Amino acid sequence: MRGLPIPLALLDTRLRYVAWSEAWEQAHDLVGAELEGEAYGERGPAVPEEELHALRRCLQATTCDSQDLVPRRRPQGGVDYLRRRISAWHDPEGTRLGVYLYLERITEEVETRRQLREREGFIDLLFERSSVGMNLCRLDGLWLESNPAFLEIIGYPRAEADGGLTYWQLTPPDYEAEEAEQIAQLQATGRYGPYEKEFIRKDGTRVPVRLHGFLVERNGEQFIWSLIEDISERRRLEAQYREERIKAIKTSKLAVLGELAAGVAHEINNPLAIIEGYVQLLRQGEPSPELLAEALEKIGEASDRAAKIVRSLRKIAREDSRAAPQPVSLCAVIRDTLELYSRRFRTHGVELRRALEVDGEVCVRANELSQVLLNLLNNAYHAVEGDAQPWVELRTERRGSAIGIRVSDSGAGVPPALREKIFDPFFTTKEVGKGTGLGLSISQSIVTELGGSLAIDAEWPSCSFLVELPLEQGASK
Amino acid sequence: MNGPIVYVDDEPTLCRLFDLHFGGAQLPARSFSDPEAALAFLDETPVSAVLCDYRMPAMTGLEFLARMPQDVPFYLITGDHSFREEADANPRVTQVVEKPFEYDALIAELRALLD
Repeated sequence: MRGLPIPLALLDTRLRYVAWSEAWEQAHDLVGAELEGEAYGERGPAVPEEELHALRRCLQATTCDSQDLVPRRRPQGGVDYLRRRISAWHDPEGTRLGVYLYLERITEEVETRRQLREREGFIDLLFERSSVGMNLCRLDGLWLESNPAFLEIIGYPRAEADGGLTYWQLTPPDYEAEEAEQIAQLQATGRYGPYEKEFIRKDGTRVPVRLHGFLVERNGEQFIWSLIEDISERRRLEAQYREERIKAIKTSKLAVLGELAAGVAHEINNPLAIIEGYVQLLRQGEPSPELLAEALEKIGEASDRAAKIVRSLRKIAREDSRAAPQPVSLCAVIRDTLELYSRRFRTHGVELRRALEVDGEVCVRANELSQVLLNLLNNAYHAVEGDAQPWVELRTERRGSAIGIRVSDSGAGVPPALREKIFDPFFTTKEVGKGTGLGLSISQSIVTELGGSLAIDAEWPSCSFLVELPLEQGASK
Repeated sequence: MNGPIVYVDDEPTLCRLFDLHFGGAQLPARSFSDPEAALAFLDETPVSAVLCDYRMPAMTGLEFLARMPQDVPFYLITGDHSFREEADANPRVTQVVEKPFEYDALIAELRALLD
């Protein structure tokens, strides 16, 4: 008995030690103690009342064999867990001699198991409560486990989804090409995504999602673990942003038009005054043939002038910001724009230099490009206003596969500290109420959308803004 | 009437029309498409009234008024309203006349004012 590698003691009917193993001595801090005949619990750790009851119950029963896990408070604090087994001890004739008591401390194992369970619970919690959809599916696409967030995205109850639906059932056929790409990636690297697609919900509507995942192995079989995010809200915000941008472009276009309106009114009212003036003269009586000829010529010229202004204006104000860009001659757009605006420069003694020798076809919405040019010209105009010898120059130049429009002026230029800021929305250096602060930011986004760029050219000797637009293939002159 | 009525407008055809209308009405008139030339003329010659365009390359009508050496009725002629407040606030502006205008009505008004 002594040599048994288990903590075992044999107690008589009055619960006194008859025999015990060395392992028992070690487990009860009783190494080398002479225990025979001594009541169990007299030395070593205190025996709880509950255990003495259990031992006595066993002695009274004809047969007994109980096994349980019992916590035991340690004298120094904390709790030990003991696996306890009590069984009856008979002689070969069946006479009751006492009990076997087996007590093994398994605190560490219990702790480890508890921690494992807690971790599993924690992972379950993450899975159940995560706002990101999670899903495990077989390689053929059959869904095995879905978390509530994923079920929410696809609009199916768990009972219908897990084990009943496949990835492919909910994937619109138009994603075939992208799916093939993702599968290839998964096979090559063990991961796929992140990429964006749609799922068909139970109610038939489509939900935009962003998903990524990786291969996992469980019991020798491979599965795909996926994380799925509902991006409807992001898509909605993006659409809203696009709407607002179109509105902002319109608003700023109106602001530019407001500034233009005064000049345009002048441009149209002058020819009207000429027409009216001659008509009034002709009505006064018999005009001489000379006067009649003069009147006809001047009236003709004046109405041509007015018509030209209206044509230019219509090109700029046309509301086609959603229409597709068309290939047009860059210099034609520049000339139409200058038709309307150059008067302002002349009126205020600002020299407007033009160097439009380089031309090319660019794919743009003419009115939007006009808006960009007007904005740059307007800024330049304000920058040189009040200078002794103010000038603004508009030149076109070939820049690789692009064509550049450079607007430079005699002004002091943009201080380096402001060079980034001036493209921010609502940033303005003009007096309160004079500028919307949207001009450059909108111009930049218009040009960017056309595949071009708008920036300050700090290398240029004078203050210079450079718009670059990609040339239509083979259209440069 | 102490002298001619002066018309200043960078548009030569409108100067010509002024000459035709005011000349036809037997009113002494001088027109200038260059405001500097008009100012030089005003330095030398007493006039009875000035009609001046607002938007001109060299200067605005109100800038012209500020440099005008004579205090005579001043009519500001214009095709747009963008400066209207500024013009109304200036006590030396007799009237703002919008283009296009009735020459007969303007002639009648000047005749009444100057007689």
